[in-house]
Amino acid sequence: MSTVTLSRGYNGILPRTTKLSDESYLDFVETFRGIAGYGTFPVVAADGDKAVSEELGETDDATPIEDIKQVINSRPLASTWQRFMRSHQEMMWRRTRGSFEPFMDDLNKAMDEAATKGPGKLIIDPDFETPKYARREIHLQPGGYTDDPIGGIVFHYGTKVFYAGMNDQDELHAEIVDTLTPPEDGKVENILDLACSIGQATIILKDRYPNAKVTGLDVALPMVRYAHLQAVERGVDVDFVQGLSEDTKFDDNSFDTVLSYILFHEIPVRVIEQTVVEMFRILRPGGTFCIYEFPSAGPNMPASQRWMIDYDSINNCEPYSPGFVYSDFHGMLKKAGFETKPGPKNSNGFLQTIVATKPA
Amino acid sequence: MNKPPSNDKDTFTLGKVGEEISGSGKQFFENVVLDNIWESMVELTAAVWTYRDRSIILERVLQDVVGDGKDIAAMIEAYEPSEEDNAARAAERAELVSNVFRSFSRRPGEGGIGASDVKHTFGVAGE
Repeated sequence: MSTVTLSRGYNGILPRTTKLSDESYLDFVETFRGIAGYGTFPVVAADGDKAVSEELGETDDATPIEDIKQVINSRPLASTWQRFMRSHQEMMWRRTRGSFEPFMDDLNKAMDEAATKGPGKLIIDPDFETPKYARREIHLQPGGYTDDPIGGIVFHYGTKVFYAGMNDQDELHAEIVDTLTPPEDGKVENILDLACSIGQATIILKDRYPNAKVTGLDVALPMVRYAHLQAVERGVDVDFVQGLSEDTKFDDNSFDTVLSYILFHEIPVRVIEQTVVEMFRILRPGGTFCIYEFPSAGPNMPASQRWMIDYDSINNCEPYSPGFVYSDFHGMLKKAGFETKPGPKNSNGFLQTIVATKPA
Repeated sequence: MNKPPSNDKDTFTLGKVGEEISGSGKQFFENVVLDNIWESMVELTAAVWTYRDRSIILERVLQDVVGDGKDIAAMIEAYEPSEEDNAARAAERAELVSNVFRSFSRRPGEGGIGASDVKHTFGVAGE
């Protein structure tokens, strides 16, 4: 039972928007995104790739992205698609935040009260300094992950729209947890959900591994406060910690398994390198680092996909995504000492999955 | 709240909550009017669905309340609004039109003007 009384209650674990008109509007945005947004991208891509081929000839990953953009951006179809994508994303956040903002005081009060309750702990250092790199309005979310006190619930409903209804009850997070690769020796006593945001996977991890100590770590205070509220309301014994992926403060060899879901394309390359080294330090020998992430660029990435990644970085506030996509992420993992192999299949075919094991 | 950051290599300036979706926003066509038309069309369609969705649910709820003896659809067709009804409808209509065509004042276009350039209201605002 929720400690926050929203005007239209909850649909299972998902808060309902506080007005029917908000739900209707956001349902439209969700449908629009699927049909006119991502649904039309194959046509936009085909049109763009044809134009690039005619004007630039064969391209590869060495072709300057500015040359590709000059060609594709001149296509009316590409301009229309970009307009659709940007407009609907703004509409989504404006309306989502607008729906929950009237309940800001109640939400803050509930999170403050939950912070003093268990069964798990919320661990916040009042002197923690959120690094500037983390304080971006990623995906155009007002305040990003870090600067809006109600960012947690806004993210919760906003991502419901993003996932087009396929994650209303955290089904996609459940799939990720269910396909986690534990260490070969089977010992799973300490699990870390790295960059846990609102704790969707963290809470499911405790359900699947009830005898393990499960910890969620995130740089964003609004996320871990909301995550802890969720855990308290559902009686789940997980700890949430505000901290840095690149400097967790956990002891050496303290985790059997670390889960990371779409973190690395959201942080600068230098922080990726530091994080990978940090994960090697805190995993025990034989421990597994289970990564679900954006794809890395290959030499044959179509011009249209490079164009879309660039669009996303500039117009969907994904400033660090190109850095990750074009980095040698696998090489970073190996340099840190991990042995890597492809991870399990995921119903989101866009993601790459990696299992990085610390040698025993 | 956490302390503000004191050391970081990144040089961008932190803005206010909602900065990315504020202001004139992004332009994807050489002629910004095309951006405005498309954005207005998306907002308009969202509004259409929002209202339609409510009427679907409303009629369903009403039918549950009145039972099988009365035809809600026929009653709706025959309804005569009061003065208060009409004032409320007018206010909502104005809000709808403002929302749908908001982008034209956000992005007036090359050589265009903004709200601060308007000197005369030609009687619209009581001048």
